[in-house]
Amino acid sequence: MKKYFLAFVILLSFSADGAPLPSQKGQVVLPSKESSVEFVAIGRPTALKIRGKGGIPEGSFFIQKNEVTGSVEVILENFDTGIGLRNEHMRKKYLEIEKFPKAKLEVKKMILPPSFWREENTSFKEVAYEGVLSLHGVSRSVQGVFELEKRADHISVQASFTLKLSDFGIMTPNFKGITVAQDVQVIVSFLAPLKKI
Amino acid sequence: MVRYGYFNCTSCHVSPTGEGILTPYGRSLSREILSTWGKETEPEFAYDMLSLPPWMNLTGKYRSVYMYRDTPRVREGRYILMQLDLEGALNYKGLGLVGVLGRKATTKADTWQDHIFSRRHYINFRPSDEVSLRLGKFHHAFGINVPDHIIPTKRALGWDQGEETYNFEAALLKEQVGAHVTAVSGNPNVGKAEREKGLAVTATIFLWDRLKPGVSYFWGDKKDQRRHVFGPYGILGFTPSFFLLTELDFQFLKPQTEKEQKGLVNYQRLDYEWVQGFHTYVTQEMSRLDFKNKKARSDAYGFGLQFFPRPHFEFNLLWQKQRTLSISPEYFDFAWLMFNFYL
Repeated sequence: MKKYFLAFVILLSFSADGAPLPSQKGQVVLPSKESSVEFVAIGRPTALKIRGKGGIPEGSFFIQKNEVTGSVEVILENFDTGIGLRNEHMRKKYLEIEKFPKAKLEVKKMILPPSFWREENTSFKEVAYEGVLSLHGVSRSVQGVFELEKRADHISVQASFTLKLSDFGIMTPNFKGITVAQDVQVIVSFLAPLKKI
Repeated sequence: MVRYGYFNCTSCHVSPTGEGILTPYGRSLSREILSTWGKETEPEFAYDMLSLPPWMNLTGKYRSVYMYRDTPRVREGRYILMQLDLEGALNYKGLGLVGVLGRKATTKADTWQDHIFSRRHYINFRPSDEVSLRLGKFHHAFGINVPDHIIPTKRALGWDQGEETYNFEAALLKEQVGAHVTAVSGNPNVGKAEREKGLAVTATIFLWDRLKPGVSYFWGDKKDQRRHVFGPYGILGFTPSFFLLTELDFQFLKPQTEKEQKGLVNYQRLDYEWVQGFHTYVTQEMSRLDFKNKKARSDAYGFGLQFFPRPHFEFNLLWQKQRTLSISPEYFDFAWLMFNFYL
């Protein structure tokens, strides 16, 4: 009986193709070589697209089996919309970065498809996740989608979500007849090594 | 402004096709991203010495050029006063009234009233952010709308300054796509036989927040001829400092009594902004509106400097090598220095 049990345990530690199962635990640390946070806002009534670039995500994610936990922070002062006066208004008047210098996204529910550990190279798109965004002194839950590509020991991720300015107590930006729409899309991207632990 | 992510002209101009009076936001951008120097209130109307109600925009414009040409027939330098205009816009809840009153350069003037005319006036209704309806006198949308009105894609096609027509325009102005459809009823300043009626259609798309390629089509009909003009164009901002304006138009012209003429015109300007407000550029342009007539061809290559020192001011110097085969097979020198001031 003992012999059979031992054989069963050994069998469990191998996958269907005979190879040993990986540890199914990993960590991603940011910032990495290619990591960024951007936002896209729309100015009305002229459908003006305002893209804020230059945000660098800092933090780490842990992957256990197919569940992801962790958080990233971004220093808001680094965002650049391409126009000096607009940056000044964004930082001082609307985001009030002296009082609230960082934004933080904490992942609450992010489930990877089963192929993530099973296959060395895999990718998937439009996977939903939930998190809590802390911005401008307010924390609220946000929902978004992400896409992921795994190549050997690196993963590339692009996660996005939409926030509503008024949910975070941010005044509606308005300048000389152009008013920024309430919904702002945030995009977090990175290519980082996946450290198996 | 496409290179800064401004896809629609209406951020900076009252007109949906981007000419004429600036919006308050456009005035502010003239200091922020167009001019080398400038103080905070400097771009405002009359340097902020006069305060206007929020529903009113006013401007004045002085535009002149000193032109030099050295051809086998003539060598001359000449000052030309191109525009001395007052323009006003009234806006109330999506409804806008725009009008220009200016000095007309003419030799057929008996009284001072003959020197006054309106190059542009229209009613603009915006039922939503993305839709614009316009009725009045203005240049219909077609290709790139640049102030340089003597380029082949403007003058050679009959869309020079002073050739504005009465139109009805419907425009779609979205974040990623734009379209203009214009019913053209002709230029009121010419006789009925010369008045060309037609339809103009343009469509553009916004790619990677910096590239604005598009296509245009015009169908025109007047007493003794019909024509189709169509072609691609692009306002392509490779970086915020480096951009290309390009347009190529084919024309099929069918005069009533003569054979069909097929031809093309093009214009290109490759521009680099060294420091904010200071540009150098090269141009290439060609007009060949009848492929069968080898002499109906002109082309030019040029080098230019453009400088926006402060809000309200613009200097533009272009030196070209021009060739007009109907005059001479040789290239000759043509240069102009343009000065523009708006209040």
